[in-house]
Amino acid sequence: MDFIVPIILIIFSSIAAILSLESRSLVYGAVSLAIFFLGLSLFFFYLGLTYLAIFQVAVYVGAIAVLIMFTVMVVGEGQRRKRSVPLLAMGLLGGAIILASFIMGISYFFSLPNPSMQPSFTLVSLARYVMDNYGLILFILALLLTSAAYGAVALARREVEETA
Amino acid sequence: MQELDKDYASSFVKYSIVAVIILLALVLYLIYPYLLALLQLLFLNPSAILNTTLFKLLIFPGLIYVSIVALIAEWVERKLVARIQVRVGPFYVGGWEGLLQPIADLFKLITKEIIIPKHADKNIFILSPVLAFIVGALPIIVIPYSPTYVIWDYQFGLLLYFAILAFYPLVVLLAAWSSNNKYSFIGGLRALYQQASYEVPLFLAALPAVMLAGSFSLTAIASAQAKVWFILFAPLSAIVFFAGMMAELERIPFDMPEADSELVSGWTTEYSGIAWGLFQFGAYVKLLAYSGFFVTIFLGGWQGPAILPPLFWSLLKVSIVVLILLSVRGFFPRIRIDQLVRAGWGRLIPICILNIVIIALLQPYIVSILR
Repeated sequence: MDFIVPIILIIFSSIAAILSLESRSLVYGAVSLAIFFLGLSLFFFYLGLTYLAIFQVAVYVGAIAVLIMFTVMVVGEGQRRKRSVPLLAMGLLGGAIILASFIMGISYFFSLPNPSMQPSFTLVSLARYVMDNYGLILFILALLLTSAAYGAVALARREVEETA
Repeated sequence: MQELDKDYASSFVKYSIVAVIILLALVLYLIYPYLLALLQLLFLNPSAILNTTLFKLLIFPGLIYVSIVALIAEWVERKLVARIQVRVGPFYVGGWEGLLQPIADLFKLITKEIIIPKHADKNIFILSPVLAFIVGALPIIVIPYSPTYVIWDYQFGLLLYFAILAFYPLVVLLAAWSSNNKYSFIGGLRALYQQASYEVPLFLAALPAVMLAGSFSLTAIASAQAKVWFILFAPLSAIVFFAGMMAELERIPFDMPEADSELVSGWTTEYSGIAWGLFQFGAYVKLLAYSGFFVTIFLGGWQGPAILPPLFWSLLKVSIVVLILLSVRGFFPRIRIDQLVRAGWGRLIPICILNIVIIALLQPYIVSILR
């Protein structure tokens, strides 16, 4: 019975993904994209990657899907797309190639002598490894990011002063 | 004129009460056997029922509690703001001080027709009030009212809370767009600006609590404040969180998305009947969720003198926070959207980062005090 939940999630996400590409209204497409992100985050949740799942929702649904929807709504939908057979055929071909490569990859993984489903490291050990070996680089990156955030705030402030 | 109003109101109440009694009798008749079994179980072994997830989800601190509080909050708000502005407020319905006004409102909203505009996007138009209510009510599941009264004591409760609330701007935008009305759309865009720019300071303001308690679990954060509440160590964060909370809830002075004098009723303009009621209901439930969250991370959750049970203290604190949130409406004028966004990005975020740095430096000392 263990495989039922992932299969339901895969079907749910796939339907949402297909709808996000194929729905004729851009707004419905954006909504389907948000639903797809939700399905993906539920999948991460199922795999036990809680942080990833929660930030997937917070960033991709809370920010990116909203941004896309905002853009679509402000710019307008434009002309609705018409179905075109050559494009559909090309899309199906591309999809088939990607699916085939996935299947080949998975079958290769299972053909390995001893397929271990459990990753050999935990999050803590990974963090420790990165901190021990690349601590200085991480520190510099963090400083860079903080200064970038401050720079953004300073730029925003300057703009405000000019307009005021 | 007054006589007429009173007549109308009292007859309305009479009919409402009769309708409620008939409905209750019907429901009672249907669930009688289950109720009997439930009561037997309750008197023999109360904790067996009070501690089940179903009870918590449906009754306390779940759906029924939240609904009742939302109804009471509506009455309190109208009465309180009226008194602040030297008016009377709800007066006739229900005998004493218009106490049954929210129930009359509820009946009115249920019986009203839901008008769908001609060129509206029907599916999304109908779906978005329901989604708004669900998204507003879902965060309640991670908020602890006492060590036992929490629906889901989740390890990453704080993160989950913010993740759920990230859906709200999406719902608002959908509602605004599907109405096919310029006032709705402008209101929706304003709501999006507001909610997107205040989510960042809100999250940053909640971080000191996580740093001090060393956990993302809201229960752990509340129990870490047994000696001292976090508001004493991070008062700036509490102020920022409170301001962000007001902005997220779209309450006056941050009510630009539904500015009555400019945008009719903002992104809810085209909604009527119970669809509008669901939005309002969702807004009050969200208010309760934010208040509970504020109490948990800054005011010590259920902590208090042991004379009274923990549940009393958490309910008292939540009520006080809700009351403060409601009463602010009576004092302040509305600010402009550019002032709001500028304050959010230019003031609140730097303050939050500064506060996080201070807390990070002082953390060892504070943790030694807490233990």
